[in-house]
Amino acid sequence: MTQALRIGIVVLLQTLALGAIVADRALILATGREVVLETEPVDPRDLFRGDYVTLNYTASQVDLGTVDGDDDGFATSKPAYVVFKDDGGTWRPAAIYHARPASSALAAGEVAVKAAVLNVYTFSADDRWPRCPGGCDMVSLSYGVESYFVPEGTGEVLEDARNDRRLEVVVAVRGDGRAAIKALKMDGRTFAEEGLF
Amino acid sequence: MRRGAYLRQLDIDLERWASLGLIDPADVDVLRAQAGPAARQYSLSGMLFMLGVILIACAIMIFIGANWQALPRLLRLGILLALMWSAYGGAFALLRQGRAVFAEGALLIGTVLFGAAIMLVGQMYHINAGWPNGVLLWACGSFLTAAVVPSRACAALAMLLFSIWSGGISFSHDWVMHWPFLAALAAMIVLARALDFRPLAHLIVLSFIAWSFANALVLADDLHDGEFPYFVTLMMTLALAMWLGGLGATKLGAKFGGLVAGYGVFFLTGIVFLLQFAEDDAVSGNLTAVLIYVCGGLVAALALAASALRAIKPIDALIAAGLIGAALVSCTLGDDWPHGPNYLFAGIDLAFVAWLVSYGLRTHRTFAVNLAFVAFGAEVLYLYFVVFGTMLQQSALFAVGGVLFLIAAFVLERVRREVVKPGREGAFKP
Repeated sequence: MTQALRIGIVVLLQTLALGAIVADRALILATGREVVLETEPVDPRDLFRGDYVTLNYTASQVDLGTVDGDDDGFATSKPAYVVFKDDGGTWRPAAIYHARPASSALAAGEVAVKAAVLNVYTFSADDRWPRCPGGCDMVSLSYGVESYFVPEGTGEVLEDARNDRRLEVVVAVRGDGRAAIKALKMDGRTFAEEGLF
Repeated sequence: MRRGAYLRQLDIDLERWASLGLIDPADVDVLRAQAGPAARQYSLSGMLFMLGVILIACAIMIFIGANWQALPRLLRLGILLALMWSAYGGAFALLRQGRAVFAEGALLIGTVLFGAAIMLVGQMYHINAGWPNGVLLWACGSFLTAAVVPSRACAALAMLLFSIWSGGISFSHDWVMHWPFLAALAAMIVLARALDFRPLAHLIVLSFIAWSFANALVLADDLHDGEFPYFVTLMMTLALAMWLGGLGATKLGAKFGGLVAGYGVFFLTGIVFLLQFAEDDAVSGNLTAVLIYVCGGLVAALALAASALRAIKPIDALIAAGLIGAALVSCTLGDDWPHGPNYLFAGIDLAFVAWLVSYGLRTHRTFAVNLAFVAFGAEVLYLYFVVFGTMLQQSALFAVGGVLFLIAAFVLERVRREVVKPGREGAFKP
């Protein structure tokens, strides 16, 4: 194999890999179903890290006792599928499963979003955890949409809105459950919208 | 001995032998040619070029990190792709001109630009910061360049990136074990052999030790009792496996077996020192039984194999058995053990140091002898500071240890003089 061919193979495969990521993300934004997620304040000690805003969602922690689906068996770093239901414009978790539910099993206003389990907690009544003062089993999740990149020095507006619970995130969700950030809403109005490219 | 150092020593020896009349001066060049070509030499300009490449690579990453907002996304991506293609094209041109070092630099820039493009795409679509899969893709791209072109610099970058990927996944999931890293490691081992790149072998071994350390801590953290002795036992098993396995592999012709064995000895020295801290909690009876069968069995099997291959002496096998036995004993010691310095394991550490000196002398491994003196100093310092309140006990330990060392030195010197006595059959002849 000549040197030119070897380097050509490397360049081709790396370029194709980049193209595949772009195409995949563009496909999610173009064809994914829109789901609006409420954000929650992030611990004020988590400082703005220079070029992106950390997004924490109400649905980032799911109380297994308040939703349908699987009750236990969730493990750190394993996938989970959260079924969101439209609740007057804002989508909330209605069920959680280990495996992706069939599309036919979902009702008209429901979307299954893929997440990674970050941790599983068991709280007792003595713990007085704010989300479940009487005790519960809680699953902490990451949907892959917890970062929003912004121009340097401009994130503070978004951080303030997030901490005041005025920020909502519109994510596009594909049939396989993968999500991508499509737009941000502040005080109910679209603040930023992502194009395909 | 490294090839470059060996050839330099050979030049010196050939000149000296010719001057002493041991060889014909006319044979010096013939003998020198028989030793093979000189080791690859790196020029100052080549080194400066590599440093410049690294600085440029850092500048590229920082520039990308500043968000580069002035241009449309696709244009930014297009510029990065154009730069990447240019770097690879430049590498091709430099290879054709025979400028291998400069070509390596250009390949490295190309691979860094590939990584920068991945991070830019992640930024464009707000993929989670950290994004371990993006780092994995970059590592795979670097591995591809290293394997296909080939490129040693990209191979080193690939190993670093695979390590970052594994650490990123463990960290992002609140510290979990990450087994897929071993698959990446296996691929890197094959690549290191193919490229015959010793620094990469060092990097691989160090990455493996770091991964083992972190994942053993995760494993031990799941226990209610005995986390530390359990962790130390796992690390002791790993260190012994590296040492015995490396020596055995060398006998079977493995390329970097000696390197692995060397790191195993270094690692072992640290773990033996840690052993004296491992007695606070006892590991559960069932788990101890598992450790005896698995860890004890593995070390025994490796020691037997290394002995069969004549890679180690019987005393070395005994030391290996003794050390894993000591680690397993530490698993069974509970809170009944008196607090304060653990004289049993301190004694084991000193015995290990004595063995390490003999091992280094026997096998002509200077670093082992030096390591032994460092370990000895560390142990003495530790005992001094810990037993400051009981100087009488410390004095007794040092006195007994010192007397034993003196007796051993006297006996060994008598034996050495007997062995090297002139005229004795089998004695060394200069």
